[in-house]
Amino acid sequence: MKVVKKRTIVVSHIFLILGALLMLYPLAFAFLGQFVSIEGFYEVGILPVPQGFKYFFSNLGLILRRTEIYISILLTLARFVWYSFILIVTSVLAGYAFAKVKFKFKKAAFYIIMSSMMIPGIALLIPQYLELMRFPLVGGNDIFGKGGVGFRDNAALLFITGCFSAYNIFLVRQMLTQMGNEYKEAAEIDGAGFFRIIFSIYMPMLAPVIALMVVQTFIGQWNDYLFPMIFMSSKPDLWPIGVLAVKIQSDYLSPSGTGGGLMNYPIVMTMGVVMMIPPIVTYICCQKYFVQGLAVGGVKA
Amino acid sequence: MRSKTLSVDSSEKAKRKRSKNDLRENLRGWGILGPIILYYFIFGIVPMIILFRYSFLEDDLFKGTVFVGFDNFVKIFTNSDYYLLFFATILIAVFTIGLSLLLGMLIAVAVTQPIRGRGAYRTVYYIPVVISMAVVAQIANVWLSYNEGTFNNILRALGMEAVAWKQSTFWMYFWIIFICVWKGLGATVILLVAGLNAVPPELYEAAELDGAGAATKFFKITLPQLRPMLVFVMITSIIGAFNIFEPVQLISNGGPDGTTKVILFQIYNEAFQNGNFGMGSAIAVVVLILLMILTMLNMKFGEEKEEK
Repeated sequence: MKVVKKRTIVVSHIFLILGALLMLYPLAFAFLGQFVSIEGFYEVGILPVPQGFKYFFSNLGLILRRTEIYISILLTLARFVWYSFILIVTSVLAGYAFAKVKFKFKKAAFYIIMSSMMIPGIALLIPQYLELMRFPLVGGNDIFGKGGVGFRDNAALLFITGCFSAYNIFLVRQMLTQMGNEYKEAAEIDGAGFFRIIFSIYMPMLAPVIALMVVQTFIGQWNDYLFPMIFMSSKPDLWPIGVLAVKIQSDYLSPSGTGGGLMNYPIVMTMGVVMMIPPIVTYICCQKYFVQGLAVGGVKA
Repeated sequence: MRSKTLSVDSSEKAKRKRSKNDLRENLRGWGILGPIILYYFIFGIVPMIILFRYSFLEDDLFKGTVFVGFDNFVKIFTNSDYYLLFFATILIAVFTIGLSLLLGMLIAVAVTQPIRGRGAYRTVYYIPVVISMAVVAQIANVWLSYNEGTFNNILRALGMEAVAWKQSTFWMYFWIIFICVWKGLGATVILLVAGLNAVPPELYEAAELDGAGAATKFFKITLPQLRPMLVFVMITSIIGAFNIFEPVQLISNGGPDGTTKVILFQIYNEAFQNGNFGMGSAIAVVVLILLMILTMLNMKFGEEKEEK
């Protein structure tokens, strides 16, 4: 065991505690700010002093009375289920094909798939939008994508893009390459079919990577903002929660949203806390998968 | 004689079986990858073609969409409205990355000491990474409002003058960088911790035998050993910096006087607010080329990392 000076340990603790306080400050501020009255918020200092639960309940009531929030949460959960499903299917199948199936031009196929990592989201924003609005044979469009509205205001927009992830395919391939072929050969002798081998023999062994995908999909979908804000800009009743929550906060951050009266800052905090809790709880509960995923990939999530 | 025909027969059979097997494997491989590559073609490659095509077009209110050649690109490099976008983005990137690496390094070194509660610290530092940036930006708006904002309340209570945060270029940069560092620090720490843990302990033991001090050990062993990881963190952070959007859209709205307009914000503005998809596409093409160069550099350094 390395001998470490007591002073080093004390200094480390002090430094880490100070840093941790700064990291948690916005969360603590938002949390405590929920229990303050609208007028009381104008006297708030470094941290709000709670005044009573009734302010919190009235704000929560205001949020929960907006019916669009339920549709929005359902939509977000639907996106989570769909993207978890499709990402697992595409990653496991393609990862398996690259690791265990011998086929012609495998290397070329691999480079084609991996090249998708070179395209940043920032470059896809405009052309994907244009393409989807002029998609052939959808929304009254003819075969050349003219005449109709394509996918405009169509809920399908929220489920079409990003159905495979080259990075996840790569992760699965790496894990499967490390696993031997014995399982496959033994199962083949027992007469197990191709998909049965993938899904009932190899998939259980991929559980940590799959769990990581599911957790990251949930956090990603819950917070998703830019793409749905743009794709659904003219259809507020189809906004996922990441967009709707920000809109609700904006409503109370402008004088017009509160009828010209005082701005309702506590409700901005309540909406913020409601948005923060699911990803934080998910992260803390599933932390081990994050660490394992990092160990496999060694790359930023 | 008889045995010979039999062996030929069986090898024929084996060959046929093998070719049947090959066919099946090819069908399986391409049956899986064909649809994925087709999907990639439709939603990855075709958009790139559209992007390049649009970067040569201009959406004019009266004339419709017209071909303007390299006009958009010329504008980006000669018109200060556009090349300053890159300046603003790089300025924010430099400070965000510099601070993240400096603080991240200190935290990573502290958290790898044999102290109690290491796991808890790591958890806390990572929490901002999983929270919606947009929601946090809205909370920052509550702090930074001139009349009713919390920070100005505090300043007034202390008898100081209120600050017009949103009218000050300096303060807008300050808060955008602050939020970006706060949000991304946890990810940097985790990567640096992984890098620190990978340094062979024998190196430190040998140095201790030679009587090296803590500073010497850090600069002569830790930093050089960490170099590949540092390069990796740096390049992924630069790529991340091009995606800064929410704090600019929600807090500064590009202001004051457009000084905090960053690239993604302007792409969004040009295309989806002003309806000029051509100009937005041209900016995106420049960013795409820049990021491709960075990604390739990253892969190159990544290979060096593997080799080590």
